[in-house]
Amino acid sequence: MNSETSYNPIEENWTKFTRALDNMLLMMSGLELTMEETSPADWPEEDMCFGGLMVLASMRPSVLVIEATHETAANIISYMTGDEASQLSAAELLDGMCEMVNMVAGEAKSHVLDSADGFDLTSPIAVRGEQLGFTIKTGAISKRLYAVQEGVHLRMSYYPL
Amino acid sequence: MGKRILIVDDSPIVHVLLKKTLVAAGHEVVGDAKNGREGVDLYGKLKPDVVFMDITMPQMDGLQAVGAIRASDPAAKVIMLTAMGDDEIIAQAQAAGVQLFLQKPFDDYKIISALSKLV
Repeated sequence: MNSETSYNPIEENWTKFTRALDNMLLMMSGLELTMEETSPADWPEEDMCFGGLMVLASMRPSVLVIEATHETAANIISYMTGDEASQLSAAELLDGMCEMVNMVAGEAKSHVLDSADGFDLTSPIAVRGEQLGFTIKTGAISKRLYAVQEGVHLRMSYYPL
Repeated sequence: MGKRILIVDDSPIVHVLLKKTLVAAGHEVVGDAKNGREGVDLYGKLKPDVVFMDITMPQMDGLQAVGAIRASDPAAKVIMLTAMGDDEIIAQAQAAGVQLFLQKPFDDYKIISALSKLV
């Protein structure tokens, strides 16, 4: 078997992002999620209205996106801080989305520091709206993950550019 | 014995998380700053035992703030919070006088262990 030909840096990075998301949620909020990779056609109708994203700078840049329903964003931040979910403001949820994508990208980066797949973090960006959708027009491979626990439904996507 | 802590981070969520853990462990958060400039000012006024300092912040980043704090107080104790486990950043922070790094994500154990190592 030739390991050089089977190595896929996109898959490798995706694995690191999913592990980082899993670890971040468990460590910061005590949430253990069931993660399923799904195609967009299988996604249930949900209003993803908070998004956190980060451009990952390297020779081959990419974008990491985490999307959440309002309920999910509020529940995750509530689990993290102990604050009542219904009392959290939109500004606090946006801040939380920034922190989430920052931590996931940061932890993944720490596992690829000296490899050719390494990347630099940029400033996290959070967006808020209704029925958010992200499209990267390169036709590159995108990976999406759907994590489910009661009251917590989020998606993570990875777009090599 | 509880320590007097200054938190410098532009994320309100991180302030809440740290404060919750530190207060529960018997420490006192004496100041909250949302950028490096405020952190330097508050350090001079409050003289905390330990500073939890973020890196990327508006106006003045954490590396610059640590440099300014250590210039005024070479004995200042700083724990740097970072999502970036980057050798270059760590080297810059150590050169600025940071004694300890706390990589995000963190839980109560990581926070209290880091504090215990430093003081």
